[in-house]
Amino acid sequence: MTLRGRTIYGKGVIAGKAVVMRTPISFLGDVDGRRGTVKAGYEEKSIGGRVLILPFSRGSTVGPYIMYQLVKYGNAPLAILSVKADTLVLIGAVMAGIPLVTDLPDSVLGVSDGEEVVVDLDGGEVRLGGQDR
Amino acid sequence: MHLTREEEEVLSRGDARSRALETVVKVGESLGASRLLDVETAHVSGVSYQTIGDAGVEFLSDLAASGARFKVFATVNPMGMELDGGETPVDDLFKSRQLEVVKSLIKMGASAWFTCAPYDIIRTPPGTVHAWGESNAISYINSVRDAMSEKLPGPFTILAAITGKVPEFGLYLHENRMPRVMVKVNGRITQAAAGIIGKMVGEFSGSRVPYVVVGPMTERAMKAMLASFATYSPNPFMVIEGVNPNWRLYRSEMDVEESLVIDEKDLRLPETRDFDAVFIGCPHADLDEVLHVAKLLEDRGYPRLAKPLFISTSRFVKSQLSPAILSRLDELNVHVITDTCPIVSPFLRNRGLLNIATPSSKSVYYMPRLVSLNAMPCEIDECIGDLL
Repeated sequence: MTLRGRTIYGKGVIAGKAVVMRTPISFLGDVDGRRGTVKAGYEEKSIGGRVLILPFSRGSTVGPYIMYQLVKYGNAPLAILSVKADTLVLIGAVMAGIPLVTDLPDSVLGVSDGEEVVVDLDGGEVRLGGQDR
Repeated sequence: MHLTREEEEVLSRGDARSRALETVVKVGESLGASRLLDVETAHVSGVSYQTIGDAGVEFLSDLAASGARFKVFATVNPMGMELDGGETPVDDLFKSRQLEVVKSLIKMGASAWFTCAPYDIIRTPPGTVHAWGESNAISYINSVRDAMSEKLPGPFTILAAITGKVPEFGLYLHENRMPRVMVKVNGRITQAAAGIIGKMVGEFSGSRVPYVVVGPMTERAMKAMLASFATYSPNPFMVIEGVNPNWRLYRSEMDVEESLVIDEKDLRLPETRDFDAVFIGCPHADLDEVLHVAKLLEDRGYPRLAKPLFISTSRFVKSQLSPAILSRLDELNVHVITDTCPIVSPFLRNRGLLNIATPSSKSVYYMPRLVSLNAMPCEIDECIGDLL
């Protein structure tokens, strides 16, 4: 299955395992910029080296700084895929250099944790299951 | 996006300014901007350690170390404590991290004024373009002076200061400044009432620009109304009839789709309950507001207040007050503090003050959310009356 969105930042094709947040996150408070983890209910998920999928993020002006920390400490996600992106996530992704695809359909939230996802940044496309099916 | 030769040249250099401009361009592209605008000034927000934490400290210090320098005149929002002064106690870790932020900002070339009311001091004429990140200040220069600034996130104001550029989007475009809703306010406007008006206008308008017809009000009421409006609305611009220098132009071009009438009965405050301290100065008090308090106390024969009154202001205002007035205020339990304010500093809590009365609607909104204080609205004349 191929989902179409809009690439805000990034080039080329990226493949990796998904980490899916089904509710919106706030980069300030929910994400640990040094350890590269995100709070999901009572547990924590690592987002370093994964493709982070979320509906949208709640705005805090500190968000871009947290995204910068993720990159600085080597725990940034390979890419962020979202249904909507507010200006802060957009600015944060560009400032930190984290690939971002937004305007994806809600069905992107149906991906399971650990599922292989291919992100074609040039085409703004997300392929699930590693190939078209 | 169309880039000028000068912009192309900066992009080709590969230095810190070049990287900042690259980011501004990419953000502009994703916002659909067709070009960049030169800004006259920047106002950097998000400089309190309380707000930005270690992530922000690291970002600013790495940026300053990488050689990034501000290209345009840039002022700075209040931070987490007074730069020197004993009225705003914070712990040692907080202090050292905060000083690191100050050092980075100064190294990059900021005018470290630490005020949220830079418009009290700098000129922002109609039509001029600015990159500001403090919502009350943006709302003020857009609405009162018809200068242009979008509401920019703190980190982006840093990039704008380094590059001197913003993407042309939102309120930087004349067509997006046209009023879409009309609000008529009846009755006398006090400072706290002005905050309620700002909230009602903000909630009614949403992202649409309101055209507001309202009677005369003091400057401190105007600041309170615009600060509250910018707290409750994503849009930091209203056209105020008779105030905005171009209000006639806006009135002739606007296309109103919805209207609201606010009456005096909508502006009543709830009863003020027990409080530990009174706070004024959100936005930072101007000279007139400080002297208003001094006059209230003079009229009552200079009584010492039963509970402390804190006034947040800028160094510019404090420097205009004579040592005699300042020491008199101090004796009366009135504390004039600069560089900071209680919504970006833990100092009230650190002084054991948890229940705060204030005429500022913006503070009533943010105090519980940012510093876990219990805040209640009051008219300044009345809450001072309660302290005699």
